Amino acid sequence: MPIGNLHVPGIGKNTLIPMLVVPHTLIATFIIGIAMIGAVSEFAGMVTKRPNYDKFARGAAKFQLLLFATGSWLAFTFFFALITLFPTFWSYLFNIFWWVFLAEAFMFIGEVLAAYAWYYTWDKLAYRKTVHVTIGMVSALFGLAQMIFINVVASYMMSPSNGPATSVGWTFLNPTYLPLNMHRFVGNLSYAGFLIAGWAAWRYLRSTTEENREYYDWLGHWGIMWGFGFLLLQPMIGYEYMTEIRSHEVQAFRYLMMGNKAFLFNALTIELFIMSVTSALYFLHKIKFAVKPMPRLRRWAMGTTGVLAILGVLNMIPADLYIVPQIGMVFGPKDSPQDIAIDKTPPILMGAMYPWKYIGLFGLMLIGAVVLGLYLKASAGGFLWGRVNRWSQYGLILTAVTVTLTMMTMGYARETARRGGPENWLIRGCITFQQHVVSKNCPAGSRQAP
Amino acid sequence: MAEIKRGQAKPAEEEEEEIITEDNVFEHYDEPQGFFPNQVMADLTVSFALLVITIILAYAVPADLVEPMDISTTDYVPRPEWFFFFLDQWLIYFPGAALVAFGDIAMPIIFAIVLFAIPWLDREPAYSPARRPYMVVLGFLVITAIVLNLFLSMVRILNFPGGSPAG
Repeated sequence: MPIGNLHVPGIGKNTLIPMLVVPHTLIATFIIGIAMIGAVSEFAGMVTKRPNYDKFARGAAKFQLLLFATGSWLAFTFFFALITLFPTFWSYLFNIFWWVFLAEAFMFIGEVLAAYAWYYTWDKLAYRKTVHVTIGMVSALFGLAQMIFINVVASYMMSPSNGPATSVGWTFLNPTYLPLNMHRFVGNLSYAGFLIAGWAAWRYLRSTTEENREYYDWLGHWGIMWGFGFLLLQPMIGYEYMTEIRSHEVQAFRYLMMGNKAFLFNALTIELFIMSVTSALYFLHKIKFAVKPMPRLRRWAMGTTGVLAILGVLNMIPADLYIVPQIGMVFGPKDSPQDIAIDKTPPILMGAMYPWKYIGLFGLMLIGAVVLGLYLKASAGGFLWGRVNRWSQYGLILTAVTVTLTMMTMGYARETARRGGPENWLIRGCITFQQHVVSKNCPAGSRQAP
Repeated sequence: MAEIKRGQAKPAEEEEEEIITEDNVFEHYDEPQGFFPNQVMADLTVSFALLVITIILAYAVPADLVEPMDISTTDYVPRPEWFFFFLDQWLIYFPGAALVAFGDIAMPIIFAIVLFAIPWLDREPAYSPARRPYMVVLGFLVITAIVLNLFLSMVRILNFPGGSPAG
């Protein structure tokens, strides 16, 4: 049987790839996120002399190592599956990205060395903390560099550069490379932050000692500050990313935003609503336990949370009632995606991007920043740790679950964007899903002038 | 071995605070000081150094004059100078007649007002960045946003057929 024509029993070869990639991505992005948060925590511990930061950073280093093998195993199995099941595509991809994959491999070695050194020298370098913090930072930077290199491949597949495929520099200059890096950098920190908060909440609920309650309450607060803080940047960056897709790959944009996959963005707005409002409610609850009572600040926080919820609802209103056609959730007519301009009035007026969703998204960022600012102000005076109720912890767990779903929604959106149109691209304008290479010199110059 | 003194300790002596004057101010770089003349002097020094560098560059590497304007062409795509690319990128984020004005007029004005208001917004007297994390993070975000928008704009121009970031 020739290689590439293999059939995977039960699920088929097309399903096997996401089954390997999705858990890999969820683990790998978490590792990158927690490595960065852990390194910053250790630095914060060194500066502030508060033991919680160091305790968390050490736990983060350990957890990162525990996850590392699983994440790597999934990545290698994925590569193996890709080489075996999609050899033409892989060969083409490897030709374009030889240098990128080589650099990726070295980043991997660097990350392994630095991550293990970081964890195993914790006690040994206890009196040379600056050196140890530097090792942690180096480990985090290697992880980040891995993501930066693999993003070239991911972004190029969706939006190849307007230059020759043989030029290494041009592959980096593809239109969605920079937005994807921004989006994933901020997303990783937010994702890891929410997961840390969710984990802390679970441990808080199971704590039997006062010491543990205090620590996990603090950890929930620390995690959600990262999660919510970086989430606030995402609407702007995500919007920028989508704008680049709209400018350069109109077909992918229509498929995602107005075509059959528009429901993904309805799902995203629901997830954004859950994460932002739950975080704001958590802050509201926490402010009650500020060492210095702050009733006025809490009233302000209450008001801004209300505004945040209204803006979240504004974002959630769909443009039409053609919600998820794949499962029959169609309650109204839909214009042909080809005819819909971004500023055209859709069937549901309030669901229009212009100006309602602009108000919704920018408002979410600005009001969210105010909520976070109020919370930070309250936290500056200190909290009475270990007093929060269990509902606040359920909220943290809810944000952790929602952020995982968001990662999957957005990952799927990015990968499926290439499937819009009859060609079903693997590399847009170059290789189809059936591994047919459309022209010898593709994908150079595949983009048409707008 | 150090001698251990027993009995009641004598009351702690109050530390005398040194008075900061123009003479000893640079020994206390982390202390608040007047805007004039110290900060003004520092600003003028850096401005003068930049001016000298610019004059040297203008003589050593003179900028060529480009070709005269061709009014008969219809396919010319006007682009701003590279240092305005970041602002050009804002036009992409604010489409439509109403929002273009917001993106490229209102936002820069608001930004300029915020710049002027910094002495009132940042009341922290310490100089060290480690002691004023909020302002450092905000400043870093602003610079990052400008640099990233500059690159985003360049990559966008490069990726359109016939696109070139120059002129």
